[in-house]
Amino acid sequence: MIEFARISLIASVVALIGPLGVGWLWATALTHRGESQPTVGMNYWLGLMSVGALILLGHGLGLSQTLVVLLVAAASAAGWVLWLMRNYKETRPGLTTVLPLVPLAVAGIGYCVLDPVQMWDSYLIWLARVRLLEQWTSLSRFGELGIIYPEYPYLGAAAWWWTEWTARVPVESGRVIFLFTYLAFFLAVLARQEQTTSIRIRLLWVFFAYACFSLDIINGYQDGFLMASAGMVALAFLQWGDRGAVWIMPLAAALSLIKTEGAILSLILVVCWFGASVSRVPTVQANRLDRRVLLLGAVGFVSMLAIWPSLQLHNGLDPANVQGAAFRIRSLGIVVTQADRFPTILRAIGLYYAQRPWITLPFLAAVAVSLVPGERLDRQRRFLLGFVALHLLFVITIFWLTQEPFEWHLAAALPRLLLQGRLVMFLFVFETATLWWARLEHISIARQPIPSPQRLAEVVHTGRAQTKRTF
Amino acid sequence: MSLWSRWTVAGIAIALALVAAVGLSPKVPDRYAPLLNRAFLSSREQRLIHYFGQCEPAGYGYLKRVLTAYSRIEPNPLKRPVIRYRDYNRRSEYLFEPTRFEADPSVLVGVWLTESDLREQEIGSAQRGTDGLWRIAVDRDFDLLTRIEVEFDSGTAQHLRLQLYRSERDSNPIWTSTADVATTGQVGRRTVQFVAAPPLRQFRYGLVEPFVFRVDGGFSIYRVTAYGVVVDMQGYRVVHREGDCFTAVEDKQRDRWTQLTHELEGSND
Repeated sequence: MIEFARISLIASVVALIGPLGVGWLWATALTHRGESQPTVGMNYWLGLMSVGALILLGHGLGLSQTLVVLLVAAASAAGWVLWLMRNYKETRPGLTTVLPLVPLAVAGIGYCVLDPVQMWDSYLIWLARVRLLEQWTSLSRFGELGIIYPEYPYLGAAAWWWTEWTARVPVESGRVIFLFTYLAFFLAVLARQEQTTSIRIRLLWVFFAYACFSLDIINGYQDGFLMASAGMVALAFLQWGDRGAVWIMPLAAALSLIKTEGAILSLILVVCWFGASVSRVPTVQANRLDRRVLLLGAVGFVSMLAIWPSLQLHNGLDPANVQGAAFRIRSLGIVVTQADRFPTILRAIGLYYAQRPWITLPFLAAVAVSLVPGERLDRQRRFLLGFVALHLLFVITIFWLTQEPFEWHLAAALPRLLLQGRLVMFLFVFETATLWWARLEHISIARQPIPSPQRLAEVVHTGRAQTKRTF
Repeated sequence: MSLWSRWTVAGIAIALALVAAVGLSPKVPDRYAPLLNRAFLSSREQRLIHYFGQCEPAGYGYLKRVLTAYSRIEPNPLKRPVIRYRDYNRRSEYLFEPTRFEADPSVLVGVWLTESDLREQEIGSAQRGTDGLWRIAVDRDFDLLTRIEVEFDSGTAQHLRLQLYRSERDSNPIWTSTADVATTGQVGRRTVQFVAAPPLRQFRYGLVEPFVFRVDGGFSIYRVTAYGVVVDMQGYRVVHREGDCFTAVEDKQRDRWTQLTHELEGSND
């Protein structure tokens, strides 16, 4: 019992300290830029992504383990120093916010510590990378060691390694970072509605925090981490809007460092965000700052997407081999001959959602409420709805084109691919519910405003409306 | 919001969360029953033994003994014996730190393998598809494909030809064999064996697709059965056995691993 408590405590503390420290650097940078400050939940995720990306990049470039560890530790320490100097009191979640999540957190930590990583390929893909990072085995050797899918990226596994290695705990305990990312998402969602006093909204939030949870999120599988990360990117777009694109777009592209399909998810997120407000195109074209933000964001996005293929090339791996045997160039040549798969795919998707009415019914209700005549579907919800639709299309396309045995691939991969979009569906429900209930209860909409950097806006913009309007 | 209101909201939220957790989570599977066991909570070793077993299903306990002895002899910290399982590669080596990634074929550890897994056995019967092809779906790895047995209705044709494809996507057969089935006056069902000499090696690892047969010759085919060996022990000698787990060394390297054999025998309970 003492061993269990000791490992739980050490793993949890270390899993929080490192990423949060780096997250404070993000907070400082955003505040310095005149953006609104990220909440603790968002900070944690920003820090964790940065830690994972730093390790992946350092390892992939062949830097020494000591140097990479020092870099991450220094970044984290610098973040904490800045935090102590600035004291970001306002970002701390309140007691009533945290308490409902405590049972989930305790049970999740217990699971991560007590249940070793299972002996299935889906988990072993990532465990192998954690083990290889323990030995700092060069990426160029991944292909010759007989590990599963050596071509997969490993940002999540890198952050997992950092936690178990620095905490000196058994490897499975390092998975607490995935639990904390999931919880951080829900904290960040509620923080966006921090002025809301509606009990209904809080109960809805608690309900979904538990209902959306599954062991697949914390058992070492990376689809749950990708799900939470896609949700965080969506949330970042909602919170910081167009002006945040300069850093949110590259951040979105970092999803490609978690799993291969993260590249597509990031593309969908970016396309849906900007596509949700086509009317802004003339404004952006006419405005130098808007153009510059978009251009820098796009450059960052493409650069980030290029990181993993570049590292593969650098280490003698084949970047054209994106997903094992599932996709080949000839997949594109046989799209027509495999069209008879559609009914089976649609049936499987229908069955998946029929078995999960707790997300399907609220989502359909939210869609119905949003699309009633006279209701104005704002940009945020157009964005979220667009993502859900395009993500579904992406999943259908995967099984349409796959060169793996179709029935087997559908059964093995469909649930986890659909899982990746779950939190964005929840966001759509939550956004709709807050707007709807706020109207019913005659209270002001409690969403945080999306501020623009006034200093820059005053210099460049001719009209205030252009700087403030985000939908 | 007053303090009382906050605590009320928190209380309701926690109650709702607990109800939701109980209601929405699946029944606690047997896998988690030992959570109530104090020893299980206080020792990672106990947990690994519980989940991966001394020998079955993933041989944690036995592998620990072998790797401990092996590491005293093998200077390369990345090398380990080849580990073979009865069904699929469970990669139990990942349970150990540091993980030894490089398989050394001079030592083979069998995990949860019975004698029958080391001898020829039926791998599976084929199902005939509407396209006339015969498919065998197997959910385990095996080393050798030794022979194919075809049951058919004797007719007037002279020859029966069998072509084997590793998967549906392969356009070229990996093995073709023809049997002379000419008979005089024999009617009814007959059986013919297509023996692969030498056996097809490393035939099937980590594949999920069925392998495919085409049988030509103008006969009515009733049954196609494949035979093979799960773990090919040719060239190896078993030097230690405990239950369904064993250690074998390559014949030509027996002298090198004498100490390993002694250590394993010495560690027997």
